[in-house]
Amino acid sequence: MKKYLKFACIAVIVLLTLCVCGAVLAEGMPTGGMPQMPEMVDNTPKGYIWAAIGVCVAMILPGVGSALGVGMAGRAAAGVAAEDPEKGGQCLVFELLPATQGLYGFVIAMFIAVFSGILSGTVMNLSTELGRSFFYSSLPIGVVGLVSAYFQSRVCCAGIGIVAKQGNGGMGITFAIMVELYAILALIVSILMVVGVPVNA
Amino acid sequence: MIVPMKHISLFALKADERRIMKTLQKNGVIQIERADEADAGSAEIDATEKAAGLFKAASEAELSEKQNTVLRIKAAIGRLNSYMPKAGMLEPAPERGEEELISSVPAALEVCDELDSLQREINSNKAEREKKLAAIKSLSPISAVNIPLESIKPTKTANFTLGTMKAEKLRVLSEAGVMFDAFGTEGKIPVLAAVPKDEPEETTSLLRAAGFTEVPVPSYEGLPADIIEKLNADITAIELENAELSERLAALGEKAADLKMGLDGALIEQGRSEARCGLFATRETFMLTGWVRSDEADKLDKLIEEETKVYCLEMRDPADDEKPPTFCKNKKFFAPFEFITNMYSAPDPRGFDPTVVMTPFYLLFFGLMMGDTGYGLIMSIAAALFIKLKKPEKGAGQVARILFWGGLSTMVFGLLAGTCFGMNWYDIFGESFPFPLLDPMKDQMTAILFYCGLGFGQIIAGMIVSIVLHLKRGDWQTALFDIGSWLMIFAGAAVLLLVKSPVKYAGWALIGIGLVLLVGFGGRAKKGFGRVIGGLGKLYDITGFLSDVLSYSRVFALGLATGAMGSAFNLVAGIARDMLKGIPVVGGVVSFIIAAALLIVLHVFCVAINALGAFIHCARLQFIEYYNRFYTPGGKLFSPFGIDTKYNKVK
Repeated sequence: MKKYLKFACIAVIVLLTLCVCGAVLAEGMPTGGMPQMPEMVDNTPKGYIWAAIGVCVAMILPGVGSALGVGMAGRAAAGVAAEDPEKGGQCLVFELLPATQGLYGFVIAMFIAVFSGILSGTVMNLSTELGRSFFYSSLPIGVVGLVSAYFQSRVCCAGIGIVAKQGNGGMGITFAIMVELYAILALIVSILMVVGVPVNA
Repeated sequence: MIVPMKHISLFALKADERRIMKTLQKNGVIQIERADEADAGSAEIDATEKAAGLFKAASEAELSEKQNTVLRIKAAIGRLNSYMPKAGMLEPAPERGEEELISSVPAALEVCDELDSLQREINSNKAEREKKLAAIKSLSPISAVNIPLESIKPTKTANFTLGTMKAEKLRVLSEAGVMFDAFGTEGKIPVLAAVPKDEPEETTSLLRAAGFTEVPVPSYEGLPADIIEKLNADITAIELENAELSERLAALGEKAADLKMGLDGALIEQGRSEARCGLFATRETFMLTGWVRSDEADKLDKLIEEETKVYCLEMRDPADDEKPPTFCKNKKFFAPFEFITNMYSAPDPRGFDPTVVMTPFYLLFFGLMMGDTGYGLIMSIAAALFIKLKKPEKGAGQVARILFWGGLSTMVFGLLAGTCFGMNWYDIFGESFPFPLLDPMKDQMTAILFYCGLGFGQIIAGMIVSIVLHLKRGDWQTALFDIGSWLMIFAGAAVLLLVKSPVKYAGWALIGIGLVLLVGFGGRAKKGFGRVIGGLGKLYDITGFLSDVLSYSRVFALGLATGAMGSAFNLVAGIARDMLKGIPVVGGVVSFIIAAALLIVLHVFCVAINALGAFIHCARLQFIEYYNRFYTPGGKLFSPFGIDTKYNKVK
């Protein structure tokens, strides 16, 4: 299990670094305080890069977390169902609980895609500042979604243990849903941030 | 409502025992508690000890026999599962009589016997086949030997050894003067060598040096080639036979109904034997102890009276140190929602059944969390069809009914603050359409405040329920000082916020009284300085209220997520249609079909995952934010001794 968490952490760090480096490079090298020649200044807005990175972060990070989480819980569930197929239904509920983070990420990714104009094609006019705002708004659900899906999945595996031993995992579902609160709060914050970006102002 | 339990002790004649147990099982009115010898009380234990022991041993032996039957039939069903005709998803369980089920056990056991003998034959055939294959493998290196194997016998002066070696090494042997006969000219060939009886070592070492590997002479008669041919023919015959046996085994799958009826019959008998193990017996009588619902006490008396005239039924209320099982009885509309409560924990038998005060809030928040009229419609229709066609019982039936009502609630709240299949109302019906009254996409803060306000309402409701419960118990101090004081503070704050006239001083007054009651009496259990600290500590509860209220912001997120997910899926289907439209000639049809298929699959997934989320998150709000204020968990559900079948419904 540790192996996966480590892998996920490394993936997150590498991805975020790549994103930011890519965006900084694309926006133009920092001038280091040197006055630039007027003809060298690239005045085209670079918001589209940041918005696209935002979409990626919002989808990739919680998606990875949910895939890890559902995968772990799924293996535990299959183990129980192999012994007693009748408990498979309850185990399925546990397996699906960590799947929600990926969906929250999907919702934010779609929000950013719609609001920034990626879908309508107006994204090329998006100013760099607004594009950055979209990127920042993908971070809460991205990071919290990844981490909470992983830890929720561990509670779910324990809950599947309750099902295997006791037959009724109702309490385990309550335990697992406690972890979800933070993904939900992150989703709310992300929604408020995306919706609040003054694109049409 | 929690139905009070009565403790029963029934004494009757052993001769009537089977009939009484049968009636009790059929009616499912009592939960048997294993009678300990100590419970027998004044019964003359010494004299009856032997009889009791015999009865116990006999019933335990019977139970293990019945358990074996159940296991055998279950194993047969498992073995034949893939050959059985598939039952439709929505087919209701067939209804049969108890007698019919029990009388079908022998038939099921016959099927089991047949299955076992078939399986045994198949297995022995398989073993035989393996043996013959191994023989062929051992014969194949010497298949070129053209003398009958039985003719290889020691003579007066020499033994013969059969083996294989490379043809080109034969020269070494002939030069060394070893007598041999080689079969074949090239490659690895079988060689029959003569080893003189008086000096075997010399020859064997010569043979070994030439790379001769000995092959033990198989105990077959005839030429090796003929033997192999015969073995191959045997194997083909065995395979044919096994194929036929497998077909016969598969045909047993047709007897699925017999097996399933037999299993249910065996389960009924097993249940009865299990119950018998909980009895205590003397030489002529038996004693049964357990619990009965107080509203069914008379029914129980009547049931036993129909079976026998010689009995004694004692009933009493549970003693203080006893914990009776919990049974909740609610109106038909509320009954399915007991499932939610039991998911957390069944109520304490002396506590309060919260189902009725929870259901309205459950439906309210479920509807808001799903928040999509179209999805609500699908859920209600699917749940209604499932209930109508499958006629589910117990857990599945309760969940289906919760989803049905939840779907109706979702339809209403989707209109008030949501979407329809992921589409905005004003996109469908134009800007002038009055719904939704509150669009969480446009007024996010209003929506969050509104949902948290509703949550605050539920918390207040929980406090009021708690006050009522405490007053009923006569504990007016807790009701007034610990809960009432907070209500006063909240009421005062509400007055301050809403009213601008001089009446607002009443608000200050209310807050003041509330605070005095809270701080002054909150620590009343302690003395002196501890009392002051305790009272001030109560003020800290405000953080609990705050976090509980904020927890309701999940309603906003989940409601919005449903609509957003739906609209994203609409978008995906739309993009797919636009892309496929470009295909010449068939573009229109193909794009329509693909987009429609995508929409159906994606929306069904969306309904399923969001219904799961709403179901669980809504239950959580009840457990943590609501039950927290008044609920006493820790009961054990009443599980009466009854008929518990798997495949058939008992009439």
